Amino acid sequence: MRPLRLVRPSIVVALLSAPTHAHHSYAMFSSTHRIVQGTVAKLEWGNPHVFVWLYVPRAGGRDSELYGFESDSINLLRRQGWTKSSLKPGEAVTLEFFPLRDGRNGGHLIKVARPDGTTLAGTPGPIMGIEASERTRATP
Amino acid sequence: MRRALSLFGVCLLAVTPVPAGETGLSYASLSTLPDFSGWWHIQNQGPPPLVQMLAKPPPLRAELLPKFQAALAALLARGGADYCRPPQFVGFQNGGGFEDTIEFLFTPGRVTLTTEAGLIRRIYTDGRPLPLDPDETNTGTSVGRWDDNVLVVQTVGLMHTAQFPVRFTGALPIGDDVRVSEFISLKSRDLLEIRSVMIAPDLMAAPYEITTLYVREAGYIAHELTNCPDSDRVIDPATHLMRFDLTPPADLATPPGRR
Repeated sequence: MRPLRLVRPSIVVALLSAPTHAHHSYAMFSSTHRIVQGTVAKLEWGNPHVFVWLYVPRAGGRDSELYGFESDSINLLRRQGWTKSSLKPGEAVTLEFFPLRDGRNGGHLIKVARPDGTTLAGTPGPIMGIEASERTRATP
Repeated sequence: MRRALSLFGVCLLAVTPVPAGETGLSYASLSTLPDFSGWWHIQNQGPPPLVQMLAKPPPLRAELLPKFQAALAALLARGGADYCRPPQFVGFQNGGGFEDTIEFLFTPGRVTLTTEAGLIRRIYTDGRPLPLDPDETNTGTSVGRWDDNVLVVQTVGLMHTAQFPVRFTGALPIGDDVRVSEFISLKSRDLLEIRSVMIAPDLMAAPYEITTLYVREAGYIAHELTNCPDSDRVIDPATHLMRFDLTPPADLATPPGRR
């Protein structure tokens, strides 16, 4: 019988040493960081995941595409300084995220930056979890 | 071994009876108890419970250890993915995850422990005994007593299907006849320690002890955490399978360049 391989503790530390709301898998996200600029369409404030909706201009065009980004639960985002009015509709922002693997317009939020330099960070647990998940996937 | 563990649990309860003292039985006497007020957040410095378990594996029954390790590996590969399950006490705090913030409420004859995820544990300190044949509940049935400045809590009647160490697909059930003793005290003014000793004959080959530290968060306002919303964009309530629902909300702002 083939012995089971123990999970590397370093990965588990990364996954669970910070507050993380283990509601679902991170497998749907790539660990590649992407950045888009756009205007806020809505901050969808709810459990178990807050969503940020963003209009992102199409390349070279006047039209825009709608993107959706998940973040964590309300209690954990409140710890990061978020409130339900942290992002106003129409506000210009730069958003960094882990993109969806299926290519649709969305992903897991890493952070949002405003033109004045202030930022709103996502929760660290899922961020480390996505990267740990990627490392786990890459390990044969 | 299983019978021996059960007997150990009975003896543990027998040698630590709950006295019917005055302290904590009247509103006036509550002021003499240690100050557990406010919300307490799990201390993130140092390894959290699951990592402690890897560094020092729980004393699982030998035949269950491979399943435990496989479940942890699967958790890393695909996350939790459980949907809309009630919070449950499994022998130590944060049974529903590692993010729960907890609070203690003192009333005469009772300490109530709540979590941000909605678990409510009623710990009776009025001298009543533990039931001999308790119903299974998500919180179990708890009695407590004050041993100087330590709140000693004993719990029986946990759901045998509650999962160890936290709730995720493939995690092991704690099984029948679980008994838990907790020793809750302040290590300093804003640092709280909960030492738990769990006896789970179906799961463990020996009593399992775990200690968790919490930091008091002055002024913290609790925020509801639930996995049971009317609409979940990431887990399909019908199938419990993962998804990423990008159906736009009805009340989006007008796209730029349009009126």
